[in-house]
Amino acid sequence: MRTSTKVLSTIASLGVLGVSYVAGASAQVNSFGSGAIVAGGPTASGSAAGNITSGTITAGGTPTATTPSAAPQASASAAASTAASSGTSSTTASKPSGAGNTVASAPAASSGTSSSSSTSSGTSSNGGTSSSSSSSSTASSGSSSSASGSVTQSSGSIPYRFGTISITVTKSNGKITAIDTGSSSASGGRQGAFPYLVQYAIAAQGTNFSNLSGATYTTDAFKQALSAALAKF
Amino acid sequence: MTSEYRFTQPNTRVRLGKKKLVRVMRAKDIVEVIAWASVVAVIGMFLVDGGAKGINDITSASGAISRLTALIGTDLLLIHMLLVARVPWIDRLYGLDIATAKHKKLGKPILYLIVAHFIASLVNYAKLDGKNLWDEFVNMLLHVNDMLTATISLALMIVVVVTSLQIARKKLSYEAWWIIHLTSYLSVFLAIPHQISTGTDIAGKPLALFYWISLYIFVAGNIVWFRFLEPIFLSMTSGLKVVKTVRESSDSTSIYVGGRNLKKFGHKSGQFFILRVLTNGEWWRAHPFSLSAAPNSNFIRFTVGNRGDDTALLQKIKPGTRIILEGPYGIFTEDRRTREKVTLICAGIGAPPIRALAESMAARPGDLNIIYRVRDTDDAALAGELRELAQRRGFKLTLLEGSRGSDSSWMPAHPESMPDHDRIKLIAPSVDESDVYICGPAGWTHAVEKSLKRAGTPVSQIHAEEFAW
Repeated sequence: MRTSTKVLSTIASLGVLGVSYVAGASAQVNSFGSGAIVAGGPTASGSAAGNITSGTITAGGTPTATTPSAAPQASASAAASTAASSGTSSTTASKPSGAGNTVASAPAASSGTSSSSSTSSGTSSNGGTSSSSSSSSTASSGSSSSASGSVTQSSGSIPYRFGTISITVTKSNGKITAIDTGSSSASGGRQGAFPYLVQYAIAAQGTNFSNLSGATYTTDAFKQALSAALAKF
Repeated sequence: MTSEYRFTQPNTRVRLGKKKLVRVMRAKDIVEVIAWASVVAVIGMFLVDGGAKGINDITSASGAISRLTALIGTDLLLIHMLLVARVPWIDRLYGLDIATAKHKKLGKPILYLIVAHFIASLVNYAKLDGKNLWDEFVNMLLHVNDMLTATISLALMIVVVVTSLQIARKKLSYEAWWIIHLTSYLSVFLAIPHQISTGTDIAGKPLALFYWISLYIFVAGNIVWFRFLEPIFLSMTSGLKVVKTVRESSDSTSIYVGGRNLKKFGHKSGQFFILRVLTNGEWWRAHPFSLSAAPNSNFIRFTVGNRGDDTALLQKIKPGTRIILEGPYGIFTEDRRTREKVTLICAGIGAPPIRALAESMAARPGDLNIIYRVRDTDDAALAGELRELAQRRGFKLTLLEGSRGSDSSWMPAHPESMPDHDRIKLIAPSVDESDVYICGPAGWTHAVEKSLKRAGTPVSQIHAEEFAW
């Protein structure tokens, strides 16, 4: 190969590989939203990546806008938050839209000021508090809104080539804290992949993790189950 | 000794100049860039899939290594196979000798990659299942799809590579090596199922699967067509048969192969064919032989020296025997000539292609200078024809007879021990500004190349063909 060609093709190769790497690193960014869970209060702001839901609440306490991309539960919780407009302590119970989920969250008492109260926030990275802070005072002032709610959702059975995946996802304060692979089955030693997949999913807080080598189908089915479960939050 | 050979008309024109070489270099660059691009593409497949992400423990690391080594190893394996498929478009650019050398070079690295893939995936699975390596190995063979065939494939590959190592080659007969080497096709084939069923980067990914299968089909297509179908088809439709054999010297014989429409082979002086004799027990043996006469419509002629093995048998081949020719191959032709002056140098049974080139090269009297290194002037293959050609076309012919002076010399002993590179200038004064074509045994050829460089001939003007490749 001539030197000029060598140099050019080396640069091109490195470019392609760099782009591939970046594409790979940002691959599968949640197209399905990682589910907003609102337990009210500032603790929600800590939740990891996902859709950004900003509920702007006017001084009157009426929600004026919630981003359309927000999952239904966001508006539901935003609506719930309007209850706080009374100025007294409000009870914000997150009301996930999905049916059949258990809500273990204790009602969060917000000792907010009179104007507004807990804002709904998705699992937004910029946090519920900051987005709603455009209005007057926010619930962030209230330290009391602890609301450590944990919610679980099940995926239902996802049959695939080597078995069936059925998982139950537990979210606490908007974060995936546990995944139970329960009655999932996989042949050929593939069930050995489950603990890793659980670990990866929790680390990634979603399905944005790479395939487990040797367990491609299992990984895919697991991700399918995970997104099904997450969609219910 | 005057031959009764009827010479064909030489070429009337030839393109000279460096421009031709630039075109060849450009084509080579394109082929090499495509080959590298195929490697980059599979690494890209791995990266796009997030393969380099989330590596934080032995399990994920071994998984990534397993995937990457498998992808690169298999891609190189396909290139490796293409290199010996005797594909015309590779031959025209590099010559089969270079392609075969590259093929040999690639063998071991590919095996290392595939072995690394095996170990990494075993570790990966063992970690996932919480088993020790041996239990996991047994488990994979028994329970994981297509792992049995994949393991057999690897075992075959190891055998093929080990038997091709220098040490092993010396101890094995050509036949044994050849049969073992044939199993490499089986090895490649057996590895396919596990790639498609469990390959992380391919299974369930339509685009990657399409690319992967395309690679296989491209390589398989080239091998099947160029190595098998086309030669058989061409030879059969031409009805190639041995017409006659003629004794050329005490240890060489010319074989005349006749048939219909010989021009369609498109062979040129300096090229060689791979010859198969269709008799029981011989058909599978491939013999590479250079043309010893310029292409013509009556026959294709090879001149075979007795080199011990089965070339002695070939010399006794009966007229009427059917023949299959694969080829033509080689870039030892006038296509690579860039200068007006040409020096042709050969030794012993390296004479045939030089003899053919002398017959067909476009030249005016004095343009060609032929040097023929012989053991015995009176018993040198094709010396009579070369003399006659030189006389008719006005070329200088020098026969160098006698035992060599020193071990490193390629010429007969000189009374005053004059070095070879000075002597070649006396025999061929314009050697530094001519294209030089060399054909002879490997060691001898290298000695000639060395003295040519010292005599001032640019490397780009030196063309060598080793008949034992």
